[in-house]
Amino acid sequence: MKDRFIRDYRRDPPPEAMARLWQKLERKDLIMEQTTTRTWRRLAMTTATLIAVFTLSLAVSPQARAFVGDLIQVIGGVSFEQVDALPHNDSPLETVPSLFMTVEEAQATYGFALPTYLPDGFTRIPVYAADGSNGEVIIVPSAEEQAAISLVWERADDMSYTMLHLSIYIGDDSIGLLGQEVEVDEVDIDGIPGASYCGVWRDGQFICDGINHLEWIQEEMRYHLSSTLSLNELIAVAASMR
Amino acid sequence: MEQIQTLLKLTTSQTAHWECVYRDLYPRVYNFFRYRFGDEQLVEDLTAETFTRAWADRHRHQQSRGQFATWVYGIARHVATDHLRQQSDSPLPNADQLPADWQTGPEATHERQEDMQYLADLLNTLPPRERELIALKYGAGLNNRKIAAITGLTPSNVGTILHRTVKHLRTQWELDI
Repeated sequence: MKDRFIRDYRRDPPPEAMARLWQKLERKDLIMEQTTTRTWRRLAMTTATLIAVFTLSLAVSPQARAFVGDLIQVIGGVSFEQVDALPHNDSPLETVPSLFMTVEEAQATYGFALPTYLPDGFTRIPVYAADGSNGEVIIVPSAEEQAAISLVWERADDMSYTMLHLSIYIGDDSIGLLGQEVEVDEVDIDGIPGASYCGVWRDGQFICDGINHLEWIQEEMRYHLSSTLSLNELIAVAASMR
Repeated sequence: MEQIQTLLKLTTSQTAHWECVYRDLYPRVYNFFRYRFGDEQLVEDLTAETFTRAWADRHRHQQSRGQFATWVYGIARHVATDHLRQQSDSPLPNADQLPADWQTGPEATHERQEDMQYLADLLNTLPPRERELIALKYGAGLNNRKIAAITGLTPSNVGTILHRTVKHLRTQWELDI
């Protein structure tokens, strides 16, 4: 078939148009990567926040408190009991409906301290309850006039993601439940004692997953910072709350 | 975090692969639109539209480059159809719209410019189906079997239509030349 004259109509596309579109597609990819990464981050954040809220519920749960035995240890002024497993493995944990407040409302109600120092890049984000509801501050109240309060900050860039949880237990007899294998160390927070350890409860087991915890008592409130930040950084944040 | 980093590493390692695919496919899709519509800026725009639509979901086709190409041509056909719906006519370029390298230079270039304009006019007279097959054959450079897979026609049907169309074009071409 003599079709040379038809083939001659073909031509090379302008290189600049080809390059321009490639750059646009690459930018689009980058945006998609960032969106996907943000999605993973959000999933991680939601999971971590749910764990934190679960811990709050645990601290004020009558079942958990009844579960505590006589082997309470006080480290850095903070009370802990180390247990094999959580009570909710056999009986579902009774949860108290959570409340949400603004930071200002919560501070006016409970009078807790907030950090005046955070490492660069952290911004406060909403705290999520298991049903997806959220607010600046979550309050898990207790029938025994106790309450647990939680706030969350995050720091995100293209390559890393860090969360910082602050939980405050209102009441003078809160007890932390930790796994048997956890080592709790006493630390100094700008002149006041505190306790540090690594790990978190997941599915009834206490797992050391690289999250550092720092707890201390201040004005009859138990403060609890947790993050993948280093212990020294957590201590610096805690010191700014004095 | 591990999932995030794994995702980033995978994406980075695949970039080179997809750039090769892009460099192979772009001229084909570009010429597909060129044979269909002619207008240089429109061809660029429709090519960009096709890749923008296809690129977001390209990883679904990463196991087979050929399958991805077929899918891209399918999108190109939809883009062309969408364009035709928006514009009832699709003029081919006038002489002054032809590429710059055809508009300047010696007399031979001028003659080529006239030839291309005449061919553009001839293509413009073809019915949509025949013109699309010409675009897939000569613009995208596909064989009859691939054209059949994309259009839903049988390979022999594609061959028959193309043979008649080329014969018609050649007759018209030789009448003028």
